[in-house]
Amino acid sequence: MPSRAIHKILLLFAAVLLSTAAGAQAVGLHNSGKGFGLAFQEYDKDGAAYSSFILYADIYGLPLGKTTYPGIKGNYSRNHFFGDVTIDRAKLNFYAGPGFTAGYVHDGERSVISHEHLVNHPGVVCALSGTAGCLFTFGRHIALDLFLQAEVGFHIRKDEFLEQSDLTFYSNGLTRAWIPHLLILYKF
Amino acid sequence: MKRFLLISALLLCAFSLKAQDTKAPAFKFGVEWGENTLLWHAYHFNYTTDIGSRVDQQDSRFKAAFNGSVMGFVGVNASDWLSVAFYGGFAGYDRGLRMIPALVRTTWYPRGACSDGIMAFMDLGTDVKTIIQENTVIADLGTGYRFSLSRHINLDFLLSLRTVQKRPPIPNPDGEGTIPAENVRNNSAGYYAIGLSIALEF
Repeated sequence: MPSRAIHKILLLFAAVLLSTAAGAQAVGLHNSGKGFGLAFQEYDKDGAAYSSFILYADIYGLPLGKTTYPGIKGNYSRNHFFGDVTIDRAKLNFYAGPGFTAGYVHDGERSVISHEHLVNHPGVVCALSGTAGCLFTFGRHIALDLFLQAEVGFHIRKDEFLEQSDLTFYSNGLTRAWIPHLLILYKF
Repeated sequence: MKRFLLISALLLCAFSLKAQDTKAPAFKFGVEWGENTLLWHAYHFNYTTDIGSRVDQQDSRFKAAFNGSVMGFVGVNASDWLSVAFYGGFAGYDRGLRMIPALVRTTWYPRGACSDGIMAFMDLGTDVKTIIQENTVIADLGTGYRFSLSRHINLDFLLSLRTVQKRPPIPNPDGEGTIPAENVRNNSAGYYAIGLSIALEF
């Protein structure tokens, strides 16, 4: 993967990150079995929907020692509330929405447990995402956002044996969709 | 030292006498995840080689390594300011050193388990994978801050000093495998790390 392309992706992320952070109404930490990073949210005035941007280090292969470095992935989602319920001091707001994911990550490999290292190179991922989850608010500045996210798209990486690029379906977007994401947010 | 411990215990009890807004639930469970930063590694190996000579190796040095941990826990709130819980999960302490910790944690909440405030805890346990072969002992001492979001949801930010003490097998420098146990007089190793973690308790 040419380093110029990686630099362009990182610059794009930085631009979106800064512009989102400038108008963010909530910032926080992204925690997931998929990776760790930052989150920014901006809520509509009517409270019917909100925009969410997350940027995190993708740790596929890292916990089992199959690789020594994480990937980087960003997602922008436009989520719409469709119901809420109040339990004790917590208000649970349910939502769903589409989005877009881009990054530079490893994709899933068959027999990853038995291999000593990941065989495939990392590559660029572009995918459409679907998010469904629940935003927990407690009448204070701290909120929690728990959601599942599936991604459908493609993965472009340098072939392991030939001097060419491979274009494949991004399998981790679906096979790891069951892993929950938890955002710990501070609302301004 | 005894006077210091007595004064500390009395101060913690004094804080606990403050009236609580909400009584803590009897049982609790949750998940904790975070990062272990290894800072110091020490070892001392003393053994006899195949040709009868004695080798003594020891070193103690700064060693940086970043690892993660994720654990689940179940426990009881013995009172509004004291809880005991059993922790188990998956944690790394050095490159190639992954463990399955099993720990017992005692936590003090001077302002109450259902109130915002600082907390202090200590853990003691072992690594399930190597408890018998390597006599592994894991101990933590830490502090943190609790945000009591509701009666059943608490968010904790934790900072701790962590140590792992073990007796690992010594690689055989003259061939394959490890030094036989009967030739080993000392094989101790210690890892010292700082842990940063977040916990959700229900």
